[in-house]
Amino acid sequence: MSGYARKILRVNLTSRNTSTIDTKDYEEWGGGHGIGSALFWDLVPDKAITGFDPRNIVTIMTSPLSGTLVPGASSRTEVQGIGAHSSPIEWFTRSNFGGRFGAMLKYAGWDGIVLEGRATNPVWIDIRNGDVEIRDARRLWGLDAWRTQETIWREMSEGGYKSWVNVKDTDDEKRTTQRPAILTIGPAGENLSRMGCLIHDAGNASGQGGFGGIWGSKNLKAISVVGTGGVRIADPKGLIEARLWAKQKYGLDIENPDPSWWSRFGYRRPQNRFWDQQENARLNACIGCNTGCKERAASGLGNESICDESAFYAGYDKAKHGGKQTSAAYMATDLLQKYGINAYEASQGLVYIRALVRMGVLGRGKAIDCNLDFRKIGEFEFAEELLTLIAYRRGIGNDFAEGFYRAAKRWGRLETDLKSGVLPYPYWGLPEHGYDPRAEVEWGYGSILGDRDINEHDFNSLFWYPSGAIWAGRTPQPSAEMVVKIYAEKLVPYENNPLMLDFSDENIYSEHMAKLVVWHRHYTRFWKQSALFCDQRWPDFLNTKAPSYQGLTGEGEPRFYNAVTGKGLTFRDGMERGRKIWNLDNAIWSLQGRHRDMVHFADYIYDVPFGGIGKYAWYFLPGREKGAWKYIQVNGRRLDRAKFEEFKTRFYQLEGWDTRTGWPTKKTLEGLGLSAVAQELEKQKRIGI
Amino acid sequence: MGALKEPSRRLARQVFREVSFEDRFEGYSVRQCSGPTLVTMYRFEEVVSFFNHQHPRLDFGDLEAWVRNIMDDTELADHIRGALSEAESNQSRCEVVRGLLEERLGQCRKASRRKEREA
Repeated sequence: MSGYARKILRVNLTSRNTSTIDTKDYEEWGGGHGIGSALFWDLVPDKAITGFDPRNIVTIMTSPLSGTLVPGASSRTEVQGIGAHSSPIEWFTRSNFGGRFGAMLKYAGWDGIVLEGRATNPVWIDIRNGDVEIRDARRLWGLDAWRTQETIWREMSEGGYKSWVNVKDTDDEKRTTQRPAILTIGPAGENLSRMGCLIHDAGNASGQGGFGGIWGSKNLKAISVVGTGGVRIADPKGLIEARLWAKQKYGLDIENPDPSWWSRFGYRRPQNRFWDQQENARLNACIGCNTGCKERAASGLGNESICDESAFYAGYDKAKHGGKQTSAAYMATDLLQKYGINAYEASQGLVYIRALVRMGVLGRGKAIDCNLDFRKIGEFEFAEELLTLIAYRRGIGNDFAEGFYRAAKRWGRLETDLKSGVLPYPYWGLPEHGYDPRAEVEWGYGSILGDRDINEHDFNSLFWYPSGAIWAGRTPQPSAEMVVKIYAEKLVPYENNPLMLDFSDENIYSEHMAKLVVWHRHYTRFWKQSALFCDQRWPDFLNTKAPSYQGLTGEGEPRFYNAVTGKGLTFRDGMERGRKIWNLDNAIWSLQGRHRDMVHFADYIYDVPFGGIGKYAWYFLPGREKGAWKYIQVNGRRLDRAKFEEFKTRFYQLEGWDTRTGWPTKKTLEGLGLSAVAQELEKQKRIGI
Repeated sequence: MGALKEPSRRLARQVFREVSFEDRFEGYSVRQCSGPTLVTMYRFEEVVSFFNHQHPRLDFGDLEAWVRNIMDDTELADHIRGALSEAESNQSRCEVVRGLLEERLGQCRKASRRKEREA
């Protein structure tokens, strides 16, 4: 079992007992999400419970690649369980985060953790290699996510960072210089906010799903892990050779760096930050990663934050301060993390409530009474006041903490604001990502056919190739025809079908597009969420350094996976495993109450043109026009309700699911070796025909 | 078209007010992770700041109309129209329009400070 630590930690918070699960029993699922779904299936008899029910479990899983030298794959950790965020049903869902927690867990000898039950008092879990202790966390309860980590670090090093960390509490001789990796909640989670996150170090958050609130409901404050072991590699030489091969053939060319991020594997550091780069900052990477997409700044503010948490306040800060980025943006982002609040929900929520202010319905003495002084927006004080209301459920913050979809419902505005799009929550009561369902449809389709905003950037380059060039008045390179050819060759098992990448109005409801969505669901379920290849780097379809622009996807994933595990898995095998995991997830959703009739977007996706009709001339994607490939404008598009229903039928047919209900069929499940799952669905009268 | 004239006190006041939801201006900010994110702006300063985003996306005709009709700044709107006709790409339009907006904002700030001193 190379790559695996061979055991999974099972923690019953109710009885305060720990035990182990043999990873071998779940090895067929690969790791990460696959094992997490299988564990959930086995350990939660009633799938129709809610997220805060103590019978709900949370799995925290690594992959065989965690803690190894596989580039862009050694640091992710997958979190699963019934979430608290989505609506109308709190779906079995997922989230994941980077940093060093997953690797440290492997070094401590664990492939993952299963959290069950609910503690009577606040607790934290102290893992030092094989020693696990459930400890009293009453003195940690109430601390923010950063102070919690500091407190645990201090305790474990006997009074500060000057000392080494005790590997074993009872043996003073056993020490390590490593700092424990800690996953924790802040006040938002403690107060059962559905926007509550799990926070690790700084800049790493398991954001979606509301797992912070779930932990709060379990009275679990933190998990600390320190490990001094390693990961057994099946073919160490092969792994080094694979890494050198990837670097030389696909990595960044120092002499001639690609200025864009076309090549997901070889490009420069990702353009993730939304705020202005701080002076005197350096790169920082997750453990084992070759990228360094984060940064640490001498200011001590905003450290390691990238992506959407850096977007939360950057624009407001600049607008308030004459176009200058001040400490307000960095401090607001730091506070999001200290409180453990989902940045995406907070960002979209702020846009929403500000719209309500300007409509005259929210404010002091208004229909929705709110004392926030929006004249101060852009100042740190405003962000602090808003986030404090949410984290501690003070005043109207009690509504906000439920997520802004549920808040809108409380205020009687849900239907109106979803119709107009003022509340931009297109799927499952969750905030919209910029890759809008009306434009880049595979993102929206994947989200509504799943459980959450997929947040998988696999095909976004198709938008970036042309859109920046056309905006700048240049001819896009490479051509649409070339791009779809390269991508299509890699879409195993549907390879060499370029029509899967035709984003024209005529094609977005077709079987070809359904195949793209199926491919995407299966690829991400195994390669990205179970093997845990990072979304920032994988897949690599088109690589400007490589001959003929052919990126390493298809060859790279199994080469690395096999070097670590020695399994001899093909890319196609991985896709099939992804299909199996996706089917198990759909079986769980079916038992939770899913039916195809509830699988639809919010009204504005059908009724309001994206970006206004022709207003913003920049959203281009590959498509065919009169039979010829070009980059086509998709602005102004709305989805058609009836055609989307036809699309769903095509999608269900491809998956082998019941087209009336969307439930998995006995034949499909049995064909995947999931007979027990089929039997349970049959028993619950949720099996497809 | 030459430089922008000093704004009147009325115009300077206008620039710093916050408009209603119906009179908002919208554009998109484009970044790798988030994709094109809708940016809703209620103040002139926010529009100016929007142009400092790394990849702002907007309809320039809409902007001209917003400046003319909502900000009630005919002179600036005329300047924007003139600049747009000369620029070759949206990116270069962004640059010239940003310059005009920043100039106007600076003028209005000065006028506002002057008024404060006089008061």
